[in-house]
Amino acid sequence: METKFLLSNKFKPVGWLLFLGSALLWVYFSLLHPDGLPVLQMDVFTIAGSDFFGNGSRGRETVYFGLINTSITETLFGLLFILGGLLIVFSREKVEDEFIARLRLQSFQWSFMINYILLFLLFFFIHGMEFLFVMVYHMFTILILFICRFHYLLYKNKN
Amino acid sequence: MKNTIKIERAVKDITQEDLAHIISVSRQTINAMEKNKYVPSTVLALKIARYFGKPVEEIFILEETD
Repeated sequence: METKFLLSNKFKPVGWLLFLGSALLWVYFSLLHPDGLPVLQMDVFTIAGSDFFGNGSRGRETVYFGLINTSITETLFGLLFILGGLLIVFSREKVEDEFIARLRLQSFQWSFMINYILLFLLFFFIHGMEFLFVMVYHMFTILILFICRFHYLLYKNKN
Repeated sequence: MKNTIKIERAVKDITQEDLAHIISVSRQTINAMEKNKYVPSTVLALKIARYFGKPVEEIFILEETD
Protein backbone atom coordinates (compact mmCIF):
# COMPACT_ATOMS: atom_id res chain seq x y z
CA MET A 1 0.00 0.00 0.00
CA GLU A 2 1.37 3.39 -0.96
CA THR A 3 0.80 6.40 1.25
CA LYS A 4 0.52 9.55 -0.83
CA PHE A 5 2.56 12.73 -0.39
CA LEU A 6 5.60 11.07 1.17
CA LEU A 7 9.20 12.05 0.48
CA SER A 8 12.25 9.82 0.24
CA ASN A 9 13.68 8.44 3.48
CA LYS A 10 16.83 10.53 2.82
CA PHE A 11 14.99 13.68 3.96
CA LYS A 12 14.40 12.33 7.45
CA PRO A 13 17.89 13.02 8.91
CA VAL A 14 17.79 16.50 7.32
CA GLY A 15 14.42 17.03 9.03
CA TRP A 16 15.77 15.97 12.44
CA LEU A 17 18.77 18.28 12.06
CA LEU A 18 16.62 21.31 11.21
CA PHE A 19 13.96 20.43 13.81
CA LEU A 20 16.32 19.93 16.76
CA GLY A 21 18.83 22.55 15.61
CA SER A 22 16.26 25.32 15.31
CA ALA A 23 14.63 24.32 18.62
CA LEU A 24 17.97 24.52 20.45
CA LEU A 25 18.92 27.81 18.79
CA TRP A 26 15.47 29.18 19.61
CA VAL A 27 15.96 28.39 23.31
CA TYR A 28 19.50 29.80 23.20
CA PHE A 29 18.45 33.07 21.59
CA SER A 30 15.34 33.58 23.68
CA LEU A 31 17.46 33.25 26.83
CA LEU A 32 20.57 35.19 25.75
CA HIS A 33 19.41 37.51 22.95
CA PRO A 34 15.74 38.24 23.60
CA ASP A 35 15.82 41.17 21.13
CA GLY A 36 17.25 39.02 18.35
CA LEU A 37 20.67 39.14 16.72
CA PRO A 38 21.71 42.55 15.30
CA VAL A 39 22.70 40.71 12.08
CA LEU A 40 19.11 39.56 11.68
CA GLN A 41 17.71 43.09 12.00
CA MET A 42 16.85 43.99 8.42
CA ASP A 43 14.39 45.36 5.89
CA VAL A 44 11.94 42.66 4.89
CA PHE A 45 8.94 42.55 2.59
CA THR A 46 5.61 42.08 4.34
CA ILE A 47 2.03 41.59 3.18
CA ALA A 48 0.83 43.11 6.45
CA GLY A 49 3.19 43.79 9.31
CA SER A 50 4.75 46.18 11.77
CA ASP A 51 7.77 46.19 14.01
CA PHE A 52 5.49 46.15 17.04
CA PHE A 53 7.86 44.45 19.48
CA GLY A 54 11.16 45.83 18.23
CA ASN A 55 12.98 49.09 17.59
CA GLY A 56 13.31 49.02 13.81
CA SER A 57 14.37 52.16 11.95
CA ARG A 58 11.08 52.50 10.02
CA GLY A 59 8.73 52.99 12.96
CA ARG A 60 5.96 50.82 14.36
CA GLU A 61 3.00 51.62 12.09
CA THR A 62 1.43 48.83 10.08
CA VAL A 63 2.67 48.47 6.51
CA TYR A 64 0.75 46.67 3.75
CA PHE A 65 2.66 45.17 0.82
CA GLY A 66 5.83 47.05 1.67
CA LEU A 67 9.10 46.96 3.56
CA ILE A 68 9.50 47.05 7.31
CA ASN A 69 12.65 47.04 9.38
CA THR A 70 12.44 44.31 11.97
CA SER A 71 14.25 41.36 13.55
CA ILE A 72 13.77 38.15 11.58
CA THR A 73 15.16 35.91 14.36
CA GLU A 74 11.77 34.37 15.22
CA THR A 75 10.80 34.26 11.54
CA LEU A 76 13.92 32.30 10.66
CA PHE A 77 13.76 29.76 13.49
CA GLY A 78 10.00 29.34 13.14
CA LEU A 79 10.36 28.58 9.43
CA LEU A 80 13.25 26.15 9.98
CA PHE A 81 11.37 24.39 12.79
CA ILE A 82 8.24 23.92 10.66
CA LEU A 83 10.30 22.81 7.66
CA GLY A 84 12.25 20.31 9.77
CA GLY A 85 9.08 19.00 11.40
CA LEU A 86 7.34 18.55 8.04
CA LEU A 87 10.36 16.69 6.62
CA ILE A 88 10.28 14.27 9.58
CA VAL A 89 6.52 13.76 9.36
CA PHE A 90 6.36 13.35 5.58
CA SER A 91 9.47 11.26 4.97
CA ARG A 92 9.10 7.57 4.24
CA GLU A 93 10.37 5.06 6.78
CA LYS A 94 13.16 2.78 5.50
CA VAL A 95 10.49 0.14 4.83
CA GLU A 96 7.17 1.90 4.35
CA ASP A 97 4.61 -0.91 4.20
CA GLU A 98 0.87 -1.27 4.92
CA PHE A 99 1.28 -1.61 8.70
CA ILE A 100 3.55 1.45 8.93
CA ALA A 101 0.96 3.34 6.84
CA ARG A 102 -1.66 2.35 9.41
CA LEU A 103 0.52 3.50 12.32
CA ARG A 104 1.03 6.78 10.46
CA LEU A 105 -2.71 7.27 10.05
CA GLN A 106 -3.42 6.36 13.68
CA SER A 107 -0.75 8.82 14.81
CA PHE A 108 -2.27 11.59 12.67
CA GLN A 109 -5.69 10.96 14.19
CA TRP A 110 -4.29 10.80 17.71
CA SER A 111 -2.23 13.98 17.42
CA PHE A 112 -5.12 15.88 15.77
CA MET A 113 -7.41 14.91 18.65
CA ILE A 114 -4.93 15.56 21.48
CA ASN A 115 -3.95 18.85 19.86
CA TYR A 116 -7.53 20.13 20.07
CA ILE A 117 -8.22 18.70 23.53
CA LEU A 118 -5.12 20.57 24.68
CA LEU A 119 -6.30 23.78 23.00
CA PHE A 120 -9.77 23.37 24.50
CA LEU A 121 -8.32 23.13 28.03
CA LEU A 122 -5.94 26.03 27.46
CA PHE A 123 -8.80 28.16 26.08
CA PHE A 124 -10.64 27.41 29.30
CA PHE A 125 -7.85 28.15 31.75
CA ILE A 126 -5.58 30.76 30.12
CA HIS A 127 -6.80 34.34 29.76
CA GLY A 128 -5.54 37.75 28.66
CA MET A 129 -2.05 38.43 27.31
CA GLU A 130 -0.87 35.00 28.48
CA PHE A 131 -3.11 33.46 25.83
CA LEU A 132 -0.65 34.85 23.28
CA PHE A 133 1.85 32.19 24.41
CA VAL A 134 -0.79 29.51 23.89
CA MET A 135 -1.27 30.76 20.33
CA VAL A 136 2.46 30.82 19.66
CA TYR A 137 3.16 27.32 20.96
CA HIS A 138 -0.02 25.77 19.61
CA MET A 139 1.23 26.44 16.08
CA PHE A 140 3.82 23.70 16.63
CA THR A 141 2.12 21.20 18.94
CA ILE A 142 0.54 19.06 16.21
CA LEU A 143 3.97 18.46 14.63
CA ILE A 144 5.53 17.62 18.00
CA LEU A 145 2.63 15.37 19.06
CA PHE A 146 2.68 13.44 15.78
CA ILE A 147 6.44 12.91 15.84
CA CYS A 148 6.32 11.64 19.45
CA ARG A 149 3.32 9.37 18.90
CA PHE A 150 4.47 7.87 15.59
CA HIS A 151 7.96 7.05 16.84
CA TYR A 152 6.58 5.67 20.10
CA LEU A 153 4.30 3.31 18.12
CA LEU A 154 7.17 2.26 15.84
CA TYR A 155 9.30 1.50 18.89
CA LYS A 156 6.50 -0.29 20.75
CA ASN A 157 5.71 -2.57 17.82
CA LYS A 158 9.34 -3.59 17.40
CA ASN A 159 9.32 -5.53 20.67
CA MET B 1 -8.23 -14.16 13.03
CA LYS B 2 -5.18 -16.03 14.29
CA ASN B 3 -2.14 -17.16 12.37
CA THR B 4 0.72 -19.66 12.54
CA ILE B 5 3.47 -17.36 11.29
CA LYS B 6 5.53 -17.80 14.44
CA ILE B 7 5.37 -21.59 14.18
CA GLU B 8 6.16 -21.58 10.45
CA ARG B 9 9.04 -19.25 11.17
CA ALA B 10 10.37 -21.63 13.83
CA VAL B 11 10.12 -24.56 11.39
CA LYS B 12 12.17 -22.63 8.81
CA ASP B 13 14.44 -21.37 11.59
CA ILE B 14 14.45 -17.73 10.49
CA THR B 15 14.14 -14.53 12.56
CA GLN B 16 11.45 -11.85 12.27
CA GLU B 17 14.08 -9.66 10.63
CA ASP B 18 14.83 -12.33 7.99
CA LEU B 19 11.17 -12.91 7.17
CA ALA B 20 10.53 -9.16 7.02
CA HIS B 21 13.42 -8.80 4.58
CA ILE B 22 12.29 -11.71 2.38
CA ILE B 23 8.74 -10.42 1.88
CA SER B 24 9.84 -6.73 1.93
CA VAL B 25 7.91 -5.46 4.93
CA SER B 26 9.10 -3.92 8.19
CA ARG B 27 9.94 -5.99 11.26
CA GLN B 28 7.12 -4.17 13.08
CA THR B 29 4.64 -5.69 10.63
CA ILE B 30 5.80 -9.28 11.28
CA ASN B 31 5.82 -8.66 15.03
CA ALA B 32 2.32 -7.12 15.02
CA MET B 33 0.91 -10.03 12.97
CA GLU B 34 2.46 -12.64 15.28
CA LYS B 35 0.94 -10.86 18.27
CA ASN B 36 -2.46 -10.79 16.51
CA LYS B 37 -2.44 -6.99 16.59
CA TYR B 38 -2.63 -6.63 12.84
CA VAL B 39 -4.64 -8.36 10.14
CA PRO B 40 -2.58 -8.21 6.94
CA SER B 41 -3.94 -7.28 3.52
CA THR B 42 -4.80 -10.11 1.12
CA VAL B 43 -1.65 -9.40 -0.89
CA LEU B 44 0.58 -9.71 2.16
CA ALA B 45 -1.21 -12.87 3.37
CA LEU B 46 -0.70 -14.47 -0.07
CA LYS B 47 2.98 -13.49 -0.11
CA ILE B 48 3.53 -15.06 3.32
CA ALA B 49 1.69 -18.23 2.30
CA ARG B 50 3.72 -18.45 -0.93
CA TYR B 51 6.98 -18.13 0.97
CA PHE B 52 6.05 -20.91 3.43
CA GLY B 53 4.72 -23.03 0.54
CA LYS B 54 1.29 -23.59 2.06
CA PRO B 55 -2.29 -22.52 1.29
CA VAL B 56 -3.35 -19.26 2.96
CA GLU B 57 -5.98 -21.11 5.05
CA GLU B 58 -3.28 -23.15 6.75
CA ILE B 59 -1.47 -20.05 7.97
CA PHE B 60 -4.39 -17.67 8.58
CA ILE B 61 -7.32 -19.16 10.48
CA LEU B 62 -10.69 -17.54 11.22
CA GLU B 63 -11.87 -17.51 14.82
CA GLU B 64 -15.39 -17.78 16.31
CA THR B 65 -15.57 -14.03 16.83
CA ASP B 66 -14.75 -13.14 13.20
